[in-house]
Amino acid sequence: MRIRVLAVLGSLLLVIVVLVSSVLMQSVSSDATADVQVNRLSSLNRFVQVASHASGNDDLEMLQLEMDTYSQLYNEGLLIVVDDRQLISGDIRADDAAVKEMVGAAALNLDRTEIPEISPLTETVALISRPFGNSAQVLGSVTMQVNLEPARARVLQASAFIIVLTLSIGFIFLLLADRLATWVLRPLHRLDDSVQLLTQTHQPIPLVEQGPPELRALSRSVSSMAQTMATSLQQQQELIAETSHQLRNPVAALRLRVDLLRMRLTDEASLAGLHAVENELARLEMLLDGVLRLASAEHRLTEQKSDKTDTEVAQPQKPTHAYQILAEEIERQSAMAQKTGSTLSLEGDSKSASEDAVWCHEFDLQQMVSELLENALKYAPGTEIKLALQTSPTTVDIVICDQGPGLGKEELERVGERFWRAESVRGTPGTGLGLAIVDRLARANSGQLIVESNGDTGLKVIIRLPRAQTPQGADHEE
Amino acid sequence: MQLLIVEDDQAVAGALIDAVSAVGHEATHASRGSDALLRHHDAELILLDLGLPDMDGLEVLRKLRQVSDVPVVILSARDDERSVVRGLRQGADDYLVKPIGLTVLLAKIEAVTRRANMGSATDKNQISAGCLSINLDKREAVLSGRPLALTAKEFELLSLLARHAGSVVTREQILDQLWGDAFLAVSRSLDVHLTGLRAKLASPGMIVNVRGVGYRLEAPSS
Repeated sequence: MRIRVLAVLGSLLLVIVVLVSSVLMQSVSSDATADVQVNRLSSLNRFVQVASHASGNDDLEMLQLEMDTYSQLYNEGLLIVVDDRQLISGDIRADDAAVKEMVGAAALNLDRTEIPEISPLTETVALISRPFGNSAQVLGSVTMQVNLEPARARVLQASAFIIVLTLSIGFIFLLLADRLATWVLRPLHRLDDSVQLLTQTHQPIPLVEQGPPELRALSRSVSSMAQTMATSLQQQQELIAETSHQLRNPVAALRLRVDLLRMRLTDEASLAGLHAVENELARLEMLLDGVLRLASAEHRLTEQKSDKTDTEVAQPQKPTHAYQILAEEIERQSAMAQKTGSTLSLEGDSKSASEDAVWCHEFDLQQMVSELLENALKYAPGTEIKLALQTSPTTVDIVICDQGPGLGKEELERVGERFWRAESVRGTPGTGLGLAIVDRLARANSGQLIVESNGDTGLKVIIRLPRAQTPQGADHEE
Repeated sequence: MQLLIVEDDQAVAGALIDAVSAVGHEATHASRGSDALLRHHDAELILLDLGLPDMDGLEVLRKLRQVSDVPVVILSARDDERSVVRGLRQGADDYLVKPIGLTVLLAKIEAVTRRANMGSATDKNQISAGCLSINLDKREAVLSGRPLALTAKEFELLSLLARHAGSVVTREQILDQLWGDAFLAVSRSLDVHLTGLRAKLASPGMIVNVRGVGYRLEAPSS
């Protein structure tokens, strides 16, 4: 838009510059021409007067002398025809066609005293002539070869000055136009940035009202639209969280009643029926739990994006040591691992403490690792599950590899979607929320979740988190 | 045993009363925090919900703790980090999240009661939790008949956890008891001792990390 505005304004300015400068140049050159004409005409008239009164050789010699002086002084040629004699001075040649034509015209009593308009690029000489005689006949003529070079140089200089001047004025106007365009467009750019930020964060952004009134009105509309959108999104999130929260009470009551029933029932058939109810109840509980955790993870994500400086949600003040948390989570899951026959192993040792510090909420990291370990134990039972830390200068990767069936290429792309579960695992209980929760939590901590194939078999899940540089010796053993 | 159930949801309260009655406890019900504060005298254990109509459950807990040491188990739908941490730090003996299975609930009630009564136990030098027994005089710890070779710090740590078996000991409590400084900057040494202790116990899941709060020793039954 700015380029287009500038292009239009620029071409208009160029036309104006060309018009103005050509008019100015025209007037400069006609001024110069008139000046030269008046000047030379008076010289010509003097010679005419001298020549017309010349009689006898002495006079002609005087005339010749005067002509030579003139030619030397002004570097201009003179040709005077008087009494059928030609007196020549300076650089003029009588046999030149143009000169002959002038002399011929003068012989016919034609006055040729017009000097063509001087333009910076024309030839540098012009011829003027004036006949003289009495009323009956032409007695002679004076032809002057006017040297236009100094005048031309002056015109050229003036023209160049005019061109430079008009161009610079045009340029100044173009700059002004640019500033104007920027002033008009800046609110538009800001609006665009804000809307992009809005689509990324789903958080309304206060717009600074600047620029023309129409754009201010537009800013206001966009602000209120963003506000409405964010509010409705937030309400949606709150509804999900609130609903699952409210569901906990009835489910809790149901769970207790079912357990009581199990204690009291004795006959086989009823117990079998109760077992089915318990299974469904377990599924319900799991789903409810998953939805709540996802809702809170998404809440954390939006809080992080909105950059609130609330103390509760601000970035952790001190770094979290990933190694210790991995060890804790392995300990927590070890009973389950024994049950499924899996082995959990963690590479490295806790001495590498300064290298495992990450900027991540401790609780979030624990939850993520626990979620991923539960997944690995559930979907890759009886295999070796390896945990490792990989550090780069800016990030720390928490890598969890299993030897299970893994996921296909298309399936890998869908990982992280809510409620999505791989075809092959639909038989096992699960919600399809685990990786979605980890994904949201990782992003809430400025990290990311990467899920890829672990070679031929199994799954490799990476939580990539920003690395925290801990000052040496600040956190050492006592 | 006399239980006070503080719960505003009638259905949950009914189920809880039926559940604890089924194993022989007696239960009374209060649906408001102010009622709970008036009626806690007879209770041997209080099951406390956090979402009460008149005041927050944590507030009830705080006021209750000023006048009474009665064991309190929080049973709430809230499972966010802050509520759990604050609940346990303000003196709750355990924090359970709804929904909860009956067996787990009863086991927790039992564990908390047992620990609460331990203060009056005759032999203060003998701690036992499941098949773990600790003799403080001889500084001996035996797990399932197997004596454990523990360092001094590991022994203190295990004793502390075993004394509170089944409920959480906060990190600050541990640091205070073992190092005499609850806000020790080098709290990572606790992790080191804990890792060593766990290796010697060789029973995965026996010492559970309660996120953001501290550690809990699950009494081993085998």
